[in-house]
Amino acid sequence: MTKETMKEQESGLLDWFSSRLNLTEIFSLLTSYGIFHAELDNRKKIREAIAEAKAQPMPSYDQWPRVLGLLAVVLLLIEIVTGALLAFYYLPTPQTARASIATILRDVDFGWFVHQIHFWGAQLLLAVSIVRVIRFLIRGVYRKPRELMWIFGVLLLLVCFHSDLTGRALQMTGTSYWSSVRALELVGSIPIYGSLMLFLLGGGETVITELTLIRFYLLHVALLPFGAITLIYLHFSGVRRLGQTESGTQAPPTRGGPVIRSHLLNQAILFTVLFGILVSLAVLAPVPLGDAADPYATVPGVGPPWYLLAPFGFLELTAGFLPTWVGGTILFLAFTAFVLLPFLPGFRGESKGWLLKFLVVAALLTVWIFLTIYGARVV
Amino acid sequence: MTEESTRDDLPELTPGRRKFLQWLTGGFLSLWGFGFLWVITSFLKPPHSKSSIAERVIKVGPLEDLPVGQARLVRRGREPIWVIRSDEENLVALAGVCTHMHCVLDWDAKQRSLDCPCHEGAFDLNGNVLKGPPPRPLKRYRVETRLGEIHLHVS
Repeated sequence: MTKETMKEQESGLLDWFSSRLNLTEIFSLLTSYGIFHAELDNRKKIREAIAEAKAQPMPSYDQWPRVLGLLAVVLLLIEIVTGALLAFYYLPTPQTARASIATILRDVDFGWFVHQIHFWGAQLLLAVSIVRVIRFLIRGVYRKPRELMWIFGVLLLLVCFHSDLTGRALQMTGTSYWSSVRALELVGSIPIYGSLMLFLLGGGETVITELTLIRFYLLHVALLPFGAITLIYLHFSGVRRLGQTESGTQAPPTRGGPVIRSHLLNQAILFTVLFGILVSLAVLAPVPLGDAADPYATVPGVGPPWYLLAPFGFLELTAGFLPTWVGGTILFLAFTAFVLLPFLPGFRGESKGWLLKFLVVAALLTVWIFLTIYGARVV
Repeated sequence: MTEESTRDDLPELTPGRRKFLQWLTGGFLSLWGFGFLWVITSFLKPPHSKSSIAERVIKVGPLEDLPVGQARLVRRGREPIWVIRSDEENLVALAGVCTHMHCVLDWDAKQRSLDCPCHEGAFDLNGNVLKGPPPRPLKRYRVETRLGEIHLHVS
């Protein structure tokens, strides 16, 4: 009896809002983030839309490799929550930045925990984004009509790199300071684009001033997260329009229960496992907070962040026989070509043989890994 | 395709079992919720400022610099405190903010009282209200002389 009335009240509330707001649109927006993969009719009432979503059967291929996008969403959510918590105490000036982080780590309850989860969550997000782009490369998620999926995926990777870069600089420890200086020098080696970026980031200097730090802070807490949320939304919006199957357009076989329930269950499992991994990393491998940065004392052996070691290594490798601006231009063109891969002549057509595809991916990865190792050695 | 047909391959659940499993799921989910809530609220609570002795005791200056019947305003952060030499032996320390509307009090050497510039309130050397609207007496601080220097305790 009580349960019946409760249900009635609940439905009353839902209907009350439903007749005043387009709840279906909001539901559609929220479920865009990897929960429901088909388009919802925004003109229908929320009950109808949910019933429709529940009735959708799960395609048989809808399995774990596709979980990378969901993982990115969950990790981004963790980063946003922990980042917002850290922002309650962080003071973004060169004089106070490191001291405020020390306060978080030492004095605030669970401060070390939030800080470590934020750090390790970011590393996992980077790893997931990289694996995702490699998966796109192998599975051909750049061929017509999925050109935009590839571009969004690579841009999300770029946004993650930038978030990590700006986040490291915010600590203002000796290591993070000089690492950021190396990264800014690398950016500055690219003609036009580099000087434009340096100008936007702090008046054209390759050191971290008050101005640079507050701009890094703004990028890190506002602009880049907004970019990441938008890109993920655009990606899943593309999935809704095109469907998940990558090989063709024929209707896939179905199995099991409704897709939305299976996704919610997957998400619960994923979140639990992910949180377990994050807590283990935070407790067993906490990243230490270094000494305060001194702009007049270079910390020896500090290179750019690991994902920039490959371009750094390339510039060092070619420094003997190429002027820096030529090396920078080659790097810029190579990256632009990577972003615009779906529009390159060789990749536009039909699926190639698996051997060729395998060789291309292997060659790209080998070059990247070789340059990274070389860059790490010359630091 | 209806919901029923997609559920055909799931095992039948008796109502009691279903209810128990739902209760179990809800219980575990609320545990997660409470855990997160606990972590987040304790994180947001600002850490205790365990002030050192140097912050709890303020050296006001040599006793001989403060004649009998005179007072000195000590600034502790944003908090004013009046240190008054009431006679040859004794010192009094009183909060320098009126209990009425937070105006900073003035020392009246003639009347030997702390006067409020806003609404004509006044306090005596024990911090009690002499006249005017203040509802409460002033807070008193411990003050003492060590080796001829005035020490104000503000813990």
